[in-house]
Amino acid sequence: MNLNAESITVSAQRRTIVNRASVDVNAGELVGLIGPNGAGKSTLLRAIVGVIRRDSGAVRIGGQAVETLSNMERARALSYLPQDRRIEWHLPSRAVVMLGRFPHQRGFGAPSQACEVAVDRALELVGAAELTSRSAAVLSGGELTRVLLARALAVEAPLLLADEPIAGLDPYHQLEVMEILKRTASEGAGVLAVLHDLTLAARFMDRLILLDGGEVVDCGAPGEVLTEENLARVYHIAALRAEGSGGEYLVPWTRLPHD
Amino acid sequence: MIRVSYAALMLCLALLTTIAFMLSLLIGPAAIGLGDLVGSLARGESSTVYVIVTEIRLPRALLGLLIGASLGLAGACLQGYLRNPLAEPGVIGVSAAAALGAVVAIYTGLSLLFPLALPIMAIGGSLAAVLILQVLAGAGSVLTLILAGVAISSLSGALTSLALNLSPNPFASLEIVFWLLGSITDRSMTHVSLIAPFVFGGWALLAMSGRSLDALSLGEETAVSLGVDLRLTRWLVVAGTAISVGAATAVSGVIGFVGLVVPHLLRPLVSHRPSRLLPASALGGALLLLAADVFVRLIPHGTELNLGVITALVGAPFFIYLIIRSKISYGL
Repeated sequence: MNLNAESITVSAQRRTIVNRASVDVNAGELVGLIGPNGAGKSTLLRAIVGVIRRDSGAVRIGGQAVETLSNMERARALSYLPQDRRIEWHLPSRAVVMLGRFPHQRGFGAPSQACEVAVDRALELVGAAELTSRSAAVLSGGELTRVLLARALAVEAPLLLADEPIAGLDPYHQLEVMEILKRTASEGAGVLAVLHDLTLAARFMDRLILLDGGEVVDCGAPGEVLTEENLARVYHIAALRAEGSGGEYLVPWTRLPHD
Repeated sequence: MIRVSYAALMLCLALLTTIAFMLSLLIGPAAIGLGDLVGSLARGESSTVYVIVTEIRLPRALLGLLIGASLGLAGACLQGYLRNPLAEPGVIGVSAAAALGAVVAIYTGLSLLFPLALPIMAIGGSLAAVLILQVLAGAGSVLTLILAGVAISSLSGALTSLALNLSPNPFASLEIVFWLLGSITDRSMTHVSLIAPFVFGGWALLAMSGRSLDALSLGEETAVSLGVDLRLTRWLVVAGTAISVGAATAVSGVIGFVGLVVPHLLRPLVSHRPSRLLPASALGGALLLLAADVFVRLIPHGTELNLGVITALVGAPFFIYLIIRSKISYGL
């Protein structure tokens, strides 16, 4: 299932935050949404999911306008992992992951066998199977992130949108989450993730969309987007580039003066 | 973490509520044994026992059940919706508005001409509160809703005080004050049948919000992405609370703290899941109110204590304890 967001504009308090931004994510593709702080990445993601209203633009899921889908149909097609990692009550981790099955369930009955299987699979995928009975309130930051990622995966939606899924994780778990996203895409889902880590973005993403001042300023394979010129113009940084055993890599290195 | 099977918990609560209901029929100034009760009910004759039970104690027990369950259920719903363990039906101003409606009925003398005017005006007051809440905070944030609730409470409180201030004779003010203290003594089956449709209707709305409350425990953004309609959920919670608690307040006066304390005590026993807390809190609320109402009858004292006084006396210290505990756990 493909996601097409076309010419999305969002403004708040008379300030345009996202300006005619278009994003396409194809099935089986891992796409990174990058850009400096305040570029409008999270706002664009929220507008696509429908958490906030967009002023104009169209969102199509599998070719269908999102307005023609019911809330539940949309929720089954598109899973969203917000930046906000909060769990209000001391829910057991398994109950948190089971909430991913919300759009698949009806009424008050016990969860179906298919739901139990999906939850087991999601927990297995993020390596959190041993956390299931623990209260989500006593998890470490890394464990919490993995449980919430499992919640998003348990929806088993053909599209996954994740807002900074590796923020606050140690390098081991950053790599683990990137591998999980890659695997989810290779199993046929379209994945769009907001990232700040350009090194990991260059390494894992099939395609990058560069956002600056609310507008899409470049789009393409990581090598085409993370050019010296784009990094200087958008991020005001210069990067070190080198060839390693695993291929070419890039590390942000020096700040450049704002002009 | 405390582990109790959900079915066992519900069974236990149901059993205890049944026992409290039976005690409510048996305990009072005239001692009635279980045998007398069964015998008179079976014969159906108009013996003294039969009259006492069906005319006096049954309405009182049924009201305890309906009102307690409404307070517990609405409290659990509001805490889940507002994601705040210190919320209770009073926070959205419904109880105060219902009380104002009742006070107006007493003040104007309408309740003397037509006794049912009191509960009807009180229900009207709570419905008016819902309309004002929808206008003030229809699409706003949770904070707007709480602020609107505070505004409605203060205004209703001020108007209630005004009525007391301008009261034409001391008997009317005494009646108002006494009614505000909260009680389910001397009510009839007419009261039960008057509020029952509202109470059941309110419960139905509240129950429908249960699943969305679960999703809301991951925050509004996640809930929306999972397909929750936030405006519908808010409407269900606010209207359900106003209708059921408004109707409850209409016959009992203001009974505080049940809606705060009961969900709090039961939450750990249902693994903190908001949807499972709803039926448990309904039973717990009924149990607490029936028990409190039996308790006021057992205190040897000239005048019977009002139910609202007892629940506040027990509830307010509990509230203080909750604040102290949350201060410790958040390190404030």
